[in-house]
Amino acid sequence: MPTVAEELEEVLKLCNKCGLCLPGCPIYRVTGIEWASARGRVALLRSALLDKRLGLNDLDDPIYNCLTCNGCIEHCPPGVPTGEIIFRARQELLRQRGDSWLQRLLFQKLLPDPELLHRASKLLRLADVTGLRILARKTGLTRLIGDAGKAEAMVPRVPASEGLETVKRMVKKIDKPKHHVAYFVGCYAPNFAPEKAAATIRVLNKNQAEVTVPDFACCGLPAAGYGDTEAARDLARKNIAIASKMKFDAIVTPCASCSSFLKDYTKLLADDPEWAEKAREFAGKVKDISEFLVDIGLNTEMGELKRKVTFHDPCHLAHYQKIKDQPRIILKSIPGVEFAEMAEADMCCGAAGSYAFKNYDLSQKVLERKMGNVARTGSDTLISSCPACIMQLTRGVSQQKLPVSVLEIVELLDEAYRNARGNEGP
Amino acid sequence: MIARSIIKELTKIAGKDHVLSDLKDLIVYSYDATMRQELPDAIVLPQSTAEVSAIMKVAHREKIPVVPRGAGTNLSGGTIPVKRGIILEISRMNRILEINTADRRAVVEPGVVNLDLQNALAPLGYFYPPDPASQKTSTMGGNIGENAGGPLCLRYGVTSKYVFGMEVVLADGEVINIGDYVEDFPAYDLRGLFIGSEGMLGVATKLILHIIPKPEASQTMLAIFDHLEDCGQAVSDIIGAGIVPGAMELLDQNMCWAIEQGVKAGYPTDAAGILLIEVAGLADTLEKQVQEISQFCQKNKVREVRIAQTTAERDAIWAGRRGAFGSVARICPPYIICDGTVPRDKLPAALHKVGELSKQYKVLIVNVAHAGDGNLHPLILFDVNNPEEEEAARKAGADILDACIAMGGTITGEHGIGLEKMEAMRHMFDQADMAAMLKVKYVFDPDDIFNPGKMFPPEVKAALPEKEGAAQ
Amino acid sequence: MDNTTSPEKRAFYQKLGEIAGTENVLAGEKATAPYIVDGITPQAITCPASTEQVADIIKAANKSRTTLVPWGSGSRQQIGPCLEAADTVLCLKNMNQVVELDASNYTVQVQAGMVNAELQKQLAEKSLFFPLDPLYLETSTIGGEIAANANGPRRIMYGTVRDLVLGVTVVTPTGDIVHTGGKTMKNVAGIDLCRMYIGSWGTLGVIAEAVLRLFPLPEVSTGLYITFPSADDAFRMVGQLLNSPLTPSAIELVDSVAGHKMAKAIGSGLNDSEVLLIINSEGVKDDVARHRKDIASLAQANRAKGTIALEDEKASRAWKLYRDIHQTMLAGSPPAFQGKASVPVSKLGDMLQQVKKISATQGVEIGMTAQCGSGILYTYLVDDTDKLGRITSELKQAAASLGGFFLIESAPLAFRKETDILPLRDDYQLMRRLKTEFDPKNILNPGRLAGGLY
Repeated sequence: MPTVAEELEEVLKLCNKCGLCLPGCPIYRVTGIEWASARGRVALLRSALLDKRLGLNDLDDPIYNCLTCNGCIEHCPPGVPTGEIIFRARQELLRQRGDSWLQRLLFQKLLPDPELLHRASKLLRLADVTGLRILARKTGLTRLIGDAGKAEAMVPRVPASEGLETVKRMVKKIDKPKHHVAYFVGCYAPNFAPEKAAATIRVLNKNQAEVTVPDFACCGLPAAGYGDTEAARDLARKNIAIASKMKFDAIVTPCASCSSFLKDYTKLLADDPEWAEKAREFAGKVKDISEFLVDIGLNTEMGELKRKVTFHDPCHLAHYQKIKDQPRIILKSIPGVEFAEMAEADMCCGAAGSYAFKNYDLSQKVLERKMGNVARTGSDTLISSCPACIMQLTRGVSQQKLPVSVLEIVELLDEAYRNARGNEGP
Repeated sequence: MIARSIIKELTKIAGKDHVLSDLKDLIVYSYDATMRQELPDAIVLPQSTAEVSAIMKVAHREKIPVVPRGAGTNLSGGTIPVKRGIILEISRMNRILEINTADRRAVVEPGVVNLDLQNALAPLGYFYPPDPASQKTSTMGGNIGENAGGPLCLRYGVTSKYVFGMEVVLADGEVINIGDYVEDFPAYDLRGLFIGSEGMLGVATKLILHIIPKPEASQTMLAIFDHLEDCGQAVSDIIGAGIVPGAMELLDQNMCWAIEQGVKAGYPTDAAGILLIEVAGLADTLEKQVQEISQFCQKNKVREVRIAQTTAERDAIWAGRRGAFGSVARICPPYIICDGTVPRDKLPAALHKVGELSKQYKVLIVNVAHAGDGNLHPLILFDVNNPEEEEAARKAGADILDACIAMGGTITGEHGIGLEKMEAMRHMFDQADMAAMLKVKYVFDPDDIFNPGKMFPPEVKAALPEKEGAAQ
Repeated sequence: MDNTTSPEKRAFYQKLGEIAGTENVLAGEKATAPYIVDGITPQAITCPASTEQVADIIKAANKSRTTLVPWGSGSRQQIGPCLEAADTVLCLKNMNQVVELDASNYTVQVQAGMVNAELQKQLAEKSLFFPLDPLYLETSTIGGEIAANANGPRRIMYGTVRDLVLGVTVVTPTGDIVHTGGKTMKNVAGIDLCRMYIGSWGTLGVIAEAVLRLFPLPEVSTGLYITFPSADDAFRMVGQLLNSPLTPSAIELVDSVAGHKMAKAIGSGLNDSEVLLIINSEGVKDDVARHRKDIASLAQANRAKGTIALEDEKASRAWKLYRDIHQTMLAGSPPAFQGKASVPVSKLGDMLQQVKKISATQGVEIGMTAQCGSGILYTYLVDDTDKLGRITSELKQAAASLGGFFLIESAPLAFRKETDILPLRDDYQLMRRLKTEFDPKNILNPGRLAGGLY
């Protein structure tokens, strides 16, 4: 078994310290500190793993406050895969330190089981409905759990919902379907925003795609991001197994993080002879919603929307999947919409999954920078394509008191379709 | 080592998040874009002139060396703390304070990134001409420290033409203003001395820059040659005819191949050399300039001339050039970059000499050059695990610089002396020249606080008469 | 030389003869009269023929503590505060050759005593020119222009002395020969001493040679002479011109007080409150044609009363008339007062109005010319000198209030001796230390940097 040092030696040595990655790193941009950049993180990991000048255990901050947005990579001429290096380092630290009970609960019990996850969210809903959550926040009780307490406000009020069941009930048969898609709903929509799932289904229907909602579990990204690759693999196998029992043209999801990680199943299970081929087949069918709609030819029979719109590129869409044009094509084809490109549109918003729960201040600084860019466009509508981004951006808009609505791209499309003449609504 | 009490004092000035001294901090501030690494004792990231002044007072009192640093992308070892001490990192001082197009001035803090400034000026129809390849990362303070160049300098001139004044903090913490917002300030050109002084005279905390309107139109072309000499001659002919393109960059075959592995700019990989030419000026006369340049290329047996038709094509051509060093790094991370500059019409001879030295020392040399002003960038590759090869590479580099001097040129056109070319200083300047430069250093910084151990070979300093209070 | 000369000094003058040849050492009233500077009559004039001779002379001067005044053709000896002493004039007029003309690389290396106009003549034969055009270029030497940082109208397109000089060979005040810069446009080796010497007024060393940046002689050069009913109209146009991608080679303004003679000679009038704007464009024919068209439109859009276009010979003559404004105004007796305001470009119009106000309240005629692209305004007082003190202090205040400064360039000696010539700055201490470091015995132009500074 190669050590982590042997595994990473080649890529660590690729860095020639040119420094062109620095402007692509949001954390460097907001702190100005060298080890908050790709060059710095790589240098430190090289120092620890190859030169043995310090221990991996001394590098918690550089390893964990990386957004893993991969904003650095496109600036890097040799293409040093910093995000992957960071993931590998986290994996190694986890192996050295062992699982925590929270991690076992989250990644091995809750996320693999949508039903269980839904019941956990019901607990949070109880805290919302009884006012306990607000009380905890206002009395500062939430501050007891450090950054996670501060970031708690990011998570919206839990609506009444039956989880995945609610979404399944939204499915309809459509007349003369041209496409059959499996809708990968993810963890967020069924528990926190079922109306967004509804919009997704409607939009797909409007584009002649018939939708089924399989019992997919979490895609596995949160586990992998934490360093628990094994838990991620288990989830991958589970999802691939579910998919293998059905027929469809594509697996579509409006969550950029999910579409990105699902496409990574090929790499994730490449060393598992039993699942490698199935993983490749599965991953080949995955499409992000913007990608899918532009591929099949977007239905442009829409009503007018008088909005000035700008787009924030989710990292998992722009940097991981290299999907940048499709969302813009979609937005620009909505009649009445004035599209304004914001500066640093593809710079991370600071959400990075659960990043804010551990690195609240840095997440805030990155968010503030993003809000400045949004405000400068003069837009009234901010669109993105990932629930974590949406949560973060919504919070940012509220903090800065900007007169901006934050919507998923499917929500805007849904609105446009519903505005079309002769449309009878859902 | 710096005493804990000093760290405490610095922390009181800059705040505890902005004074770094753990091993992991020291490691990441021990390098720049060259291969050398030396640990500092501490790093301080101030946010204001007042903080910088207070920090310098402490350093001066304790005689601790201070190395001003921007983004650490310089190619000469300029920000490597060879005598340890404090890295004064100005990246947090990154505000654009004023843009005044009517006065043609921009006032910025030194930590503003060059490209960020360009992006702020572009919507106003203005730009700041010096555009080093590092511009998306390098700071204005760093640019001034090295008197940075860039492809556009051919037509517009170098950094010292575009910096009118600065606020500077001296070694003892005194804050002075040199140069001016307005022109023709009287008496000594202290700002001229400061520009390109590689962080050895003081640290700039505010910069008054000269900005100009963007040209009305520009065209980018790629001229592909089968022989390097034809390429060089074409450059000579074009400039000799009085045409001043916005930029004229030369890349040889190996360089094009390396770039296509990394950036994929659409460069041919089977041509001995290519010229990237950007023409800028009034829209009416641009076409004529393009024609004239094409004709000179034809006269020199050009294989093909490609003219970019869209912004995307233009950007792709430039992306290749700007990704040159990095593309080579991808294939062979360790290399020596030379920055020798010769009078333009000696360029073909200089390239020929580089080729000869490559064969003589048996090292692979890949070339890119700011052809229009004779600024060569031969990249000498070697295997980091082979000390003989490294030695041969160094010797080849030294010989290249000597050749440049012999042709009436200089050992560094834009990267600075730093550590890398310290030895070569003696080949270019005699004792009297260097003594005069050291006088300037002594006047600004008698205790050698700022960036010690750079630019002048130690024997030169030792040969000078003893100064009262000067560090040896 | 008289009986009061010390033996040390006598030895020095003798040494001078040995170094430069006795025929190149002049003394006596008649010989030294043309070299009186700041009211001081020098004891001797020496004209060496080489850099090495200059070095030997300076070494000898150091030994005997003899003060030296570097001299080109004396066009600008009055610059800055008054000299404290001026024993021997070190005149470079015999060092006036081209050392190397590298036409292919657009550089020329010249000895410092070469007269600008003479250099231009030689360059023109190779279709080249050196775009430095101070107002006294017919007589000024390259070395002098460099020491004085003397710029002219062409600065707006080609840059100033600091951008046009690639390197200088200097003899330091202790007699060392120092080479700075080089032949290449891009050169960052070491500390940039070349720029230190530019504008150093002969106080840090004697410039012996210089490498200059050349340009091809323009295919076409056209001057547009535009009369405006008011300065405001002219400055509005200048603002629009500077905000465009046009690159004129001169934007000069002349007011009615300074320019009525010139205006008449070129065929336009200049009534009170009117101004003449001279905009030159040069280069490739098509570019110049486009400039002419656009400038004419801008002029029209800003209420221009009339435009005259001049080319070639006529243009050269007009420029000579322009330069004469300066010469004639300063050639009178008593010598006129000339000062230079440098303000932000957008505030130049305000400065002109301020000067007009001062002129009115003080009841003194003040003529003005301006380099509009650079924020420079020259004021010429042709009247009496009683009010000079008050006027200068108001001019200084006006310039400072606009974010600039005012510098006295030419004035009666008595006035210069009692006034602060230089504007307030906070880096004089550093300059003082530089002067002391390079010239510990203070033998080169003592007092020139700032009276009382050393």
